[in-house]
Amino acid sequence: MALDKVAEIIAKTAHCNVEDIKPETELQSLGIDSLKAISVLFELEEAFDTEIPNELISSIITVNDILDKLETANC
Amino acid sequence: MKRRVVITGLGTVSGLGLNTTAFWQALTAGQSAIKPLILPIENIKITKGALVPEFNPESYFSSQDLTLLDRYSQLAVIAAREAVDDASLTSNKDIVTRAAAIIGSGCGGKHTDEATYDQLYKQQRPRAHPLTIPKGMPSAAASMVSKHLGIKGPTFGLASACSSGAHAIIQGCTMIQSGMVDVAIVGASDAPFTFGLLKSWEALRVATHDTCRPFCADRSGIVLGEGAGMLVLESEQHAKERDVRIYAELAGCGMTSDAGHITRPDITGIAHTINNALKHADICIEQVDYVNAHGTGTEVNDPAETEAIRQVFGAHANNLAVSSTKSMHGHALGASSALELVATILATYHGNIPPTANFTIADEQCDLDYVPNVARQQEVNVAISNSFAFGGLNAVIAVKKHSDALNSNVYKYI
Repeated sequence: MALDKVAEIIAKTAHCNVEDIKPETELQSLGIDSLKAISVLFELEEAFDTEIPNELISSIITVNDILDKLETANC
Repeated sequence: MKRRVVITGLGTVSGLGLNTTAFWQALTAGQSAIKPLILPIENIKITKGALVPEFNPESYFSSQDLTLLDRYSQLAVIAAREAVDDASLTSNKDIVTRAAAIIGSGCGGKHTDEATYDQLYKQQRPRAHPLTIPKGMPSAAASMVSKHLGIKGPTFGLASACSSGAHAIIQGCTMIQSGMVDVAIVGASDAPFTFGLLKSWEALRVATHDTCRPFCADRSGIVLGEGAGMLVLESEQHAKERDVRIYAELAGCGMTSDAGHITRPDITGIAHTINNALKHADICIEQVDYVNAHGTGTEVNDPAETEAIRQVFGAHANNLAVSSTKSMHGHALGASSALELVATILATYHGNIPPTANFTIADEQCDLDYVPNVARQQEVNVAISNSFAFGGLNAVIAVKKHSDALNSNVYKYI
């Protein structure tokens, strides 16, 4: 499932616990600042072989937002 | 009157070991770190190198911190931590917080840059890793030293090829002399064992398949090394108020540019730089006991440096001990000049001159006393460290035994 894979990538990249990552979790609450966020997006783009455009990034607040963007990008 | 500057802390990571105790033990034993290169890289003609002994970065840094630390930044921080500890200072405390950090590098974060270029050019990946810029930039090591030690004073990177460390040290010294800061953490770091950089050095045709034999008739070129050398400089008054050990006085420095050939050393430029350093330090030529030479082991450098030393010192050149420690730690690019100044300071402090290792027979154009193969117990009151970089960027630093150490017999016992 996409959530499991996304959670795994977020946890590994941002050095946080995978158990703390739920769809409604805000990235900021996981200690993910803007620099960590772009690293997470890079890993997601690589893993899902997709592109998350810059203009969508500012609307990513929660893990669910990431799942939405990935869905929008058809992966 | 300019403030006197002293050296109170030393830190090194090099082919000779992960700390300054190992560095000094190997140097005084005449042990060379130069070995056959065993790297996971194919199609490289360079066969020798002086790599830092294998270490686990996770024993020095958290995995989160490592995401931002290129290998050259790791080496810089490890050496800077040692220097700060050695100076009896504490990271993130007042004195360190107000200090300057000037960190040179000859090539910057090549491991990071080249990993990204490999992804883009070779593997045809569509995107670069987002930390490529902050991790690989030439000032990354300065920022990482600042972050990991809590240094909030003037901080920047500095590049002048193989003189980068010397120029960074001189910059820190000047800041202290001017009164801008009381303490500066200065030095340089380089980690050049990457595919692109090795191929580029290979193309210059200056790397030997033998070993580094400075000033010898059968010398055949440089051997690359990696590492970092860091020093804590502080005003003499500040060090005395803290009542800490003073290794030596940083007495003066000379800097010139050849404004000429991009790689060939200029005898006049070298001589001018040494003279400038002695004048700045208010030292007579007869006072100098030891020269830590640039001594690369190339066909062109060694006779040119020898001739320049003869021009500056005249008859006193015959009394000088001159050695090239590159024969042991390799040519660690910008870091070399910092490692060599550490060796020079320790020679002064301990009264023990590291040799030119791998010495066979002197070249007929190289007719000084190069302290062949065996360290020499000898009092060193004044010494200079030479650095002459590609691009004609010359730097010489003069150190003096500090008056606190003059009456000590430490050199007799070590």
